[in-house]
This record gives sequence, C-alpha cells and structure tokens, in this order.
Amino acid sequence: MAINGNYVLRETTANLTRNITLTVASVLTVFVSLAILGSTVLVRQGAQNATRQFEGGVEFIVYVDADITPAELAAVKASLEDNPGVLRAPYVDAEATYKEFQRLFKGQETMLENVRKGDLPTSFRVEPKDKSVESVQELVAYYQKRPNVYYVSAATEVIREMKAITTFFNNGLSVFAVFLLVASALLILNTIRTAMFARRREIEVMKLVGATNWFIRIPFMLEGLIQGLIGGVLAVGFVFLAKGWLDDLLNRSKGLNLLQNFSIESSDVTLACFVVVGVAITLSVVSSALATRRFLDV
Amino acid sequence: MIKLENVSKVFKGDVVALREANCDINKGEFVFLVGPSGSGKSTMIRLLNKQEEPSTGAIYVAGKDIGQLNSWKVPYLRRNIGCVFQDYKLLSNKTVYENVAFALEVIGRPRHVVKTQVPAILELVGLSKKHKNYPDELSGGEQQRVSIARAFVNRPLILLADEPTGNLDPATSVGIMRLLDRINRTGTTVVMATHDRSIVDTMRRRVIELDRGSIIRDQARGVYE
Repeated sequence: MAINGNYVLRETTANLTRNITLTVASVLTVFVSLAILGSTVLVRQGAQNATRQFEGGVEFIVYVDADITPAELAAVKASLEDNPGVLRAPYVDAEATYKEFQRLFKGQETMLENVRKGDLPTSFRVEPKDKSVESVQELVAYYQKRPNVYYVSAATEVIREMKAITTFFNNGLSVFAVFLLVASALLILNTIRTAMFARRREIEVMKLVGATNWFIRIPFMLEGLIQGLIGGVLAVGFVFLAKGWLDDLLNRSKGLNLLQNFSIESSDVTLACFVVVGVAITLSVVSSALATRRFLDV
Repeated sequence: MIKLENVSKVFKGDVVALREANCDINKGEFVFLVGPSGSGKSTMIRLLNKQEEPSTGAIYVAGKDIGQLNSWKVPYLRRNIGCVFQDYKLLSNKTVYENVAFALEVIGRPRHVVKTQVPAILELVGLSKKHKNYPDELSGGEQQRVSIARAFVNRPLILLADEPTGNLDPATSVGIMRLLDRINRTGTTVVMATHDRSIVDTMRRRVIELDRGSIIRDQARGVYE
C-alpha cells in the first residue's frame, strides 16, 4: 500500500486544527502530567545521589584515623569481621574515598583545592545483620570507642528522614502523576474519537471504496502522537527549568547539612527527559490505537 | 462473477431479510433486483461487498468465497466493487473533482493516475465543466453522476447500485440509466436494486424479484411484474 505523504500531512493538520480547543486541552494535560513525572524522576535521582553512601543496606560508616598503620587497620577490620552483629564491612581505600569526595563536592572549588588525598579518612561501610535503630545505635556506640577510629557516621535521623521524606514526596507525586497520565490518555482518546466522528462520512466513503484500515487510521494516530509529543517536549523544557531551580535552591542552602549532598547531575536530567519522552510516546500511541481500534462500522 | 448459495440473513429479533437465496450472475450481466420495500434488495446488495455478513450460506464474488476472506482483505475486495446509493454519499466539503479523486487517493493510487483518470471519468459522466463545483451546487441528477464517477473511476469489475434513481425525476433517471448502461457495455457487471417500474420495463434486462426475503422470480429480459 503506497501511502501518499502529502495526503497524510494534509489530513493530520486538518484534524489537529479542526478541534483546536480539544487539542490544546490534551496537549496541556500531557504537559502537566509529564512535567510532574519528570520532576519526580529528578528529585528521586537527587535523593539517591545524596544517600548513595548508605545504599545497599549500609547503616553506618566507620572512619579510621588518616595516619593509621597497616597493623592497626587490620585490627579494626578483624574486629568488624569477627563481630557477629555485622553482616558485611567492605573497606573503602584512599583512592575510592577521594573519588567520592570529588563527586560530592563537585563545583565547590575551594574544597577540592584544599583537600589532598591523604587528608581524607578511609572507612569501612558496615551493613549490620539487624537494622533496627536500637541495635545500630549500639554498634555505633561500640565502634565510636574503639582505638584508631576517627569517627562513626550513622545513617541515623538525617538520612532516614531524608529517605522517608523523598519517598513520601515521590510516592505522592507518582500517584498524582498516574492520575494525570490517565486523564491525558483519555483526553487524547476522546479528541481522536471526536475527530473521527466529525469525519464519519469520509470514513464511510473510504471504507466503501476500499481504503485499508491502516490508511484510515494513520492520520488519526499521527494526530494523537503529535499531541503527545508536543506535551512531552514542553515537559522536557520544564525538566530543564526544574533542574535550574533546584540548583539555585541547593546553592542558597549551603548551610543546610541536609541538602549538602543533594545534587542533580546532567545524567539525571537526561534520564528524566528520556522517561518523559518515552511515556509521551507510549501514552499517545496506546490511546490513539485504542481510539481507532473500533471505528464506525461499515 | 457473483454466486449466492442458500444465503439467508436474519437480523436481531428474528427479522428475516433474506431466505435461502440462490442465484448466479455472470460477468457483464445487467441485473435488476425488484420487489417492495423490505423485501431484501438492499440486504442482498450489502452482502455482496461485505457490509453485512450472511447468517448462513456462501457468497462467491469473482470466484472467491467472500465469507472466508480475512478482514484485512476486505478493502481489496471492495476495490473491485463500485457502489452507488440513493443518497449519493458525496462529501460536501469537497468539489466534484476532489470527491472523485478521493476514491483513488485513499486506495493509494499515484498522483499521475489521479490526474489522468479523474478528468476522463468526469468527461464520461458529462460533468467536466462542473469539476470545481461543490455537491450542493449541483442538481440531484448531477450529484448522482458524480457518485457514479466515483464508483467507476477505479474500473471495478462489479457496480452495485441501490436505488440510484430513487430521488430523481423520470427524465433525469433516464439519463442515469443511459450512463449505467454504458458502463455495463464496457464489461462491468451491474446489479441494481430499484422500485422504478418504467425503467425495468424499458431496459428489458434480467430481473430478480424478491418478496419478504425470498427470490420468487429470476427472469432473463424481464419486466417489473
């Protein structure tokens, strides 16, 4: 079946402009729902970056003195490995510590210039068997008093709260986004149905002279896809704006310990954009396909 | 060309539109379907291009059992069957030329074919001068000519006409019948449902008479009654 590009273009444009109010409504709904979705992805990624040290069940970090001797280090390691309450305690050496430091303080030149690799304490990332607050606190208190231990940083209140808050926000926003996505899918579906109803006589003639179903469908499906894509592109623009706002916010609140590690990298923005565009395409293709699946029988 | 074998069509609520119909129409024939309203003429026409499915029985068009046809092949069947209706079914937002061209465009015919075929067919139906007019600027007879042009522009094997003169005065009807006769003489099989006694009696073609869904007469060179 040869498809005349000119025909498809003409019909699709006609469909989009005929019901301009409905088209705008669907585009805006797609935009708002995807903008929320994209921001959710950004916040989630940011929170993940901030709490990355405590990922994979790690509940506290034992920093050892920077000038520790290998023998002393082995003693600390042994005390952790022999402790029945500890599941795993991998060692993070100077090299890896410095890399992480560079990542966490990216953009803060004074910090990066003044801190040398040897200045940073190396550490053990400890995953306890029992992750309840009490037992973790007991372990933390115990290692705090061990010789050659510089400091024990626990994933206590701050991290726990941060995780809880971001999870709460993300879940709330996700539920919101899902409802809006359903609404936008239904709006696209309805817009296409309306366009098809407005052109039912043409569709009837097309079927009678032997146009294939795909030929009839394509302009309508393209209409839906274009609505989804416009909404998606607007949402991608919003994701970039949101990234700017979040960066501003983070810079202003440097004093806030809570947000210090909260950073959004460009890979996170890319991810958010891919999610937004992917959802836009899926959403519009699925609803257009549904709208044109059963059309006026002839 | 067309063959019906024990075809019945029962609509919801046991309304029998067609009862055990059998007939065989050869290539190039001109057949009138006659009978009172509700006798099953339109149903028979609608069965031939798969606008309706028979309840029982088999229908062959151009040697193929159309009951066995995959749904995606139905458009290709319809490209061989032109359709003309009592209410013309023209698109009011398109000109005469566009209405006819539309039938070729939507089956993916290339532009140069459209550009040569449409003027040729408008010439045949005598509407070359009105190709830029819109349907509501035309008389009923002219509108029916456009509809015939659209049905025939793709040179189908079969032309189905459901009361094509039903809305027209006798003089205009004669013109439409001349046109259908011309199309028939190119080798196209024409099946026409009609109430019009004078047309049937003048043309003296094969007549299939239906009454309450049954074929009660099938007569070569017949008259209305």
